[in-house]
Amino acid sequence: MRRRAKAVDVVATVAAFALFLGVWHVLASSGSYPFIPSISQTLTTLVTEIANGGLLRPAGETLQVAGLGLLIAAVLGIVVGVVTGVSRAWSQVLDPLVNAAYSTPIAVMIPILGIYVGLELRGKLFIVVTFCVFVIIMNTAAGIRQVDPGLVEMARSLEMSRWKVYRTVILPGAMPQVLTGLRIATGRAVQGVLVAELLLNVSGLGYYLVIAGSSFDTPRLVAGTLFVTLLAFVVLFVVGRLERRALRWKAFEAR
Amino acid sequence: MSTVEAPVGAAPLRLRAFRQRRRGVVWTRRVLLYGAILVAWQLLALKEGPFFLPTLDAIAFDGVPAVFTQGYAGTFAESLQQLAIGLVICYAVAIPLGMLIGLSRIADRFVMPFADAFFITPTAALLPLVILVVGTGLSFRVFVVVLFAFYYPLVNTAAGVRYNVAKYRELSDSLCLSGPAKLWKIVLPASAPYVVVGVRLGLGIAVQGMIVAELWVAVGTGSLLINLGAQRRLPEFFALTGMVIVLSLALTELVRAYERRLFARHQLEVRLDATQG
Repeated sequence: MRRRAKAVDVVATVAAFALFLGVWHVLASSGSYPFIPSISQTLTTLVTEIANGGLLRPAGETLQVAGLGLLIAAVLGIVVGVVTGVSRAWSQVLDPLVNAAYSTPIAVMIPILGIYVGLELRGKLFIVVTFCVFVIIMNTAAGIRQVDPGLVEMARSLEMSRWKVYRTVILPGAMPQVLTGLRIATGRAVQGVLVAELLLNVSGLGYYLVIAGSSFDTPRLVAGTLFVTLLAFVVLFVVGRLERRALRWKAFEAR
Repeated sequence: MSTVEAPVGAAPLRLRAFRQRRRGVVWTRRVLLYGAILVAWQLLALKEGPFFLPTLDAIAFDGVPAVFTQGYAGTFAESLQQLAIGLVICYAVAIPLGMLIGLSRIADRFVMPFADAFFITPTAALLPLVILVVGTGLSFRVFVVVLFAFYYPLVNTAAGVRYNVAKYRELSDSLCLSGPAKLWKIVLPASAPYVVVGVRLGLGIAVQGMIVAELWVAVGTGSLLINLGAQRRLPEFFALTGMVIVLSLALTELVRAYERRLFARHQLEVRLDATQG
């Protein structure tokens, strides 16, 4: 029964991809949609652009900004998240601000960001950090709050110092939520850097897409968009693996 | 035997007083922190001058009236119309599709790989491609709103339906309900809280989509923001930005309040079922 269900899953997924490629092929070869390049043209462009560095160079620039922004957001987010998770007073004061900031469309600030942080690296970093810091704060605080109070009580009864309780009980207990927050933030960092590269300072992969779009070079444009999807997939896959690896002890404990 | 009893309601009264005191402390802290932020803003604005940061009174007395007298509010209302059209299309497609995915494993395997691939793709990266396909008119802005918001109602509806089909399978079998009746009377009402969560998440992202689209093609509120920023008419800029942010938060909170009511009713029904069972 399970094998049959699995076979149905595989057939359905393969059929979906076949249908997608079929529709793409029909639309591209019909000639009615000149902006849709053929599959072979797109794949050839993708491979060529990866091989000659046309895509990898801007991708490196984009990932550098995303990574640096994520690092800043992680440090800031984990510190604030720990403070709001541990202290009820700080949580009551900061939570409304964090929730409001999380729901705020950050893009509205783009037209005047140049005044405050410049249009270069600092501006892009500002967008990336604001895209991801709040989700890290919320997840870290939630992780700290859900640590088993019994374990904390037990650690205190063993006369552990406050620092040791944090290091050995509270932070490891909150780790799954913290890592989930970091994983979500990684996706948001890639989103943020592309918003910055398209709307604030045209550079990196944003520059590649804008140039391809404005010169109606559709094979490059579609290849570039596909490459962004692949890049986001690889980044999230790697982060997911790291998360699973870091939480191996938790899975062992659960077993 | 006579016993001295505590006056009825004494404990709840003490509890209420304690809660009121605690709420007072929380609000005092909030007022102090938020007040400190506003004072810091005002001092910085006075120090750096209006070309860098407008004072709070300039935003309140120059910026906010300008939003209503110079036609900004009208432009913003037009942007909201596009947002509304995009959201209606998004929910009209995503919620039924989510139901189908929740009900059918084949539909799930057919649609979800694309939905997931689409979700991990930074939506902003699709803008140059979307412009080539649909142009720069109203359809572009509506399409971008749909693109930004689509995934959340789709996935939440699918999750809700899938969970409730499994949860109420025995109940619907024992009532001998037909497929549509089971769906209409049990699964869909039970999945409503999930759908509403998807609607709320989509709403927040859709406002972001509306702004990104308008900034990209420089029309509507996006164009206004670009012009006000370029001319450094900062009081008006901040008043308009405040309006967008307040609207975004208000819409999200409105749906969240409905969601809480829905969840509370749902939990009450579950408790009633348990006590009656």
